[in-house]
Amino acid sequence: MQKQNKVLIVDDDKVVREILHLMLGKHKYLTSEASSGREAINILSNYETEPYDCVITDNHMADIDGYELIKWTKTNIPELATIMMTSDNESATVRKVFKGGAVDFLRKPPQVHSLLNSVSKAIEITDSKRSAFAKQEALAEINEFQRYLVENIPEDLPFDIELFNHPKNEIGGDAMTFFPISEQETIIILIDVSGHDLKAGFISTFFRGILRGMLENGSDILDIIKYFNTYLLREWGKQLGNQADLPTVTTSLCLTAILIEHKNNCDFKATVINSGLPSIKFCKPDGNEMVITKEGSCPLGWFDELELETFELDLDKGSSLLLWSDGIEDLALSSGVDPFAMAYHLLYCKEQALDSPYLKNPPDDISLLRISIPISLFNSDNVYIPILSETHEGDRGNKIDEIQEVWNQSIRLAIPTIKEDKLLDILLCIRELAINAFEHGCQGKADKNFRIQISYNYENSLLKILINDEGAGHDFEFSDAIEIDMESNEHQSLGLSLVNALADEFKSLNNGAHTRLIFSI
Amino acid sequence: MELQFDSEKKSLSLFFQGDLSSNNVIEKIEPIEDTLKRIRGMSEKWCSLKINLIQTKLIDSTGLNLIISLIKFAKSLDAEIEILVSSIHVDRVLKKINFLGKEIKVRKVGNPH
Repeated sequence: MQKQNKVLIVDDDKVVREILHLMLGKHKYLTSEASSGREAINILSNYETEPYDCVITDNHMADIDGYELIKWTKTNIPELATIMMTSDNESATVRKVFKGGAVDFLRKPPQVHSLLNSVSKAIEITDSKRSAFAKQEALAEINEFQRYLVENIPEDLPFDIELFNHPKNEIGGDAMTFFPISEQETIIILIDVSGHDLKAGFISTFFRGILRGMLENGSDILDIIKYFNTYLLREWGKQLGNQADLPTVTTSLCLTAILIEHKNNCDFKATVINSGLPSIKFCKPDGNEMVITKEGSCPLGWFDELELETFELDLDKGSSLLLWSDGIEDLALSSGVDPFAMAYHLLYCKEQALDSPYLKNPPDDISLLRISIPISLFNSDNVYIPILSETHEGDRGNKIDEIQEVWNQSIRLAIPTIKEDKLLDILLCIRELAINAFEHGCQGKADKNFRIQISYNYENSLLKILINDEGAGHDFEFSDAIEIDMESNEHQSLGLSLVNALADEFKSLNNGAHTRLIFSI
Repeated sequence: MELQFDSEKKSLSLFFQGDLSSNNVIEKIEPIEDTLKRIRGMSEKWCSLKINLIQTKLIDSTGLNLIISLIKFAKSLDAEIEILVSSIHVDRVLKKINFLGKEIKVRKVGNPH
C-alpha cells in the first residue's frame, strides 16, 4: 500500500483551510488543520508520534505569525519542509521567508497545479532530509561502537596504556585491540587499513574480529600476520580484482603487534613486530628517544614475501613505547609541529585537543598509543617525555628561522601554559646551539647531521634539550658573566655565553659537540 | 631599520623592526651598512643614541653583535646610549651583559601590541 503523505495546513481563515483540504484530499494527501501559529506548534510538538511530511502556513496570524512558525520548525524539526502561502506580494517578505527556512512561497489563492507541485517538492525535501538524518544517526551509533571496540582496554593489565583515537570521518580505518594471552603475557595490536571511510572501518573491524578469534584459538601472532598477507593477496584482492577488473591490490593493512611479557614487579619485556606503520619509538626516562623499527616497512597485502622485523627490549622504570598511525605525522606536518609534540598534546591535553580546529578535519585517521610501567610502581619525578626529535642535514643552516618556528609551535602545543618570555629564552638558546652545530659540528655539509631532542618533565616543570652533532667540537671559552670589552674588537663566544646565562643548566661535552640544556618552566 | 635625528636635542634614534636574529641581520645587511655609514657621517651632530627595540621580540648573538658595534661607536664619540625594549626576553638578555667601561641605559616600556 502506498504511503499517504500528511500535510499540516495553518491559516486563521477557515475557508482557506477547507479549500486546501479539498484540493489536497483529491490527490490522496491526508491533511490536518491549525487555525493559529500556536495551535500548529502544539500539533507539531507531538511530531515524533504523529509525523507530518509538509507544513503550509499563512503569514499574518494573530498570535505567532507564519515566519515565526517556519523558524520554529527549522529549529525544532529541521527535516520538516515548510511552505509559506500569503497574499503579501512584497519581495522583502519573500526573501525573509526563504531566509527563515521555508522551501517554497505560494501566493493566495494558489493554482491547483502550483500547490501540488510545491507540496510534492516539499515532501521530497522532507524525505531526503529524514533519510540523511537517519544515516547520520546510524553512523554516530557505529562511531560509538567502533570507539568502544578501540578504547576497550582490559582493566587488570599490569602496565599502563594511554591512547588517543580519532577517525577522520565518523568511521575510521584504524583499530586497536588488547588481548591477554596469559597472566604474564598481553598482546597489543594497532591496525591501520588503507583509506578512512566506511569501507576502511568495515575492513579494520573485520580483521580485528579474525585476529581476536585466531588469538583465542592459540595462533601465533607471526602466523596470523602471514595469514592476513596471504588472505589479502590471494582471496580478497583476487576476487575484487576479478569482479571489478581492478589491480590485485585493493586493500592493504598496516599492523604493529607488541607482546608484553610481565616478568615481575617492574620487569617487562616487549617484543615488537611492525609491518607498514611508522617506526615504533622507545623513549628512555631521560627523554632520549630511540627508533626501534625501520621506517618504510611494507604493509600487508602488497607482496608475497614478508620482511617482518622483530625487536625485543626491556621496558624498565620510566621508559615507554610510543606507536602511532601515520595520521599523527600528517596532522603534525599540517599543524607545523613535531609529531612528538602532537602526540604529547593529544595524550595529555585531550579535552583541549578535541576542541581544537585541526581535529575538526584531520588529514587522516589518528591513533596513538603509549605503553609504560605504572608510575605507582616507582618514583616518576625524573621521567622526561619527548616533545620533539629532529635530525637536520648540516647544509640547512639558512633554514634556521623555519626550523625555529617548528620548535616554537611544538613547545607551545605541548606546554600551553609556558610564558612567552621564557619560551623566547629557550628558543634563543636552541638557536645558538643549532647554529653552532650547523657551522662547526657539520661544517655546513649535507652529509653530516645533527640531532635535537626536547623532552618535558611534567612533575617538576623542567624542559630538557639535547643537541648532538657528528663533529669533533671546537675550542671555545665562555664565563658565567658576559663581559664586553669596549676597547677591544675581540670578545668571548657571545652565543654560548648567552646560553650559559639564560639556561638553568648548561652542560657541554666533547668540546660542544654534545650539549644539554635544562630550563625550569 | 629607521633612522631619525632630533637636531634640537642632538639625539639620534635608531628604530629596529622585527627580530634581531642572524638571518634578519644577514638578509638586511646592505641597508644596515648604509644606515651605519650615515650614522658615522653624522658623528659631529649628535651626542645621544637611542636604540629602539620595542618591536623586537627575540635577539640572538648576531643581533647582539650589531648592537654592540653601535654601542662601541657611540662610546668612541662619548655619546649617551639608551636602549628601549618591550620584550621581557630582550630586556633580560641585555641586562645579562656587562658593557665594561660604559653605562648603558636599558629601559623597558609597555608592549606596543
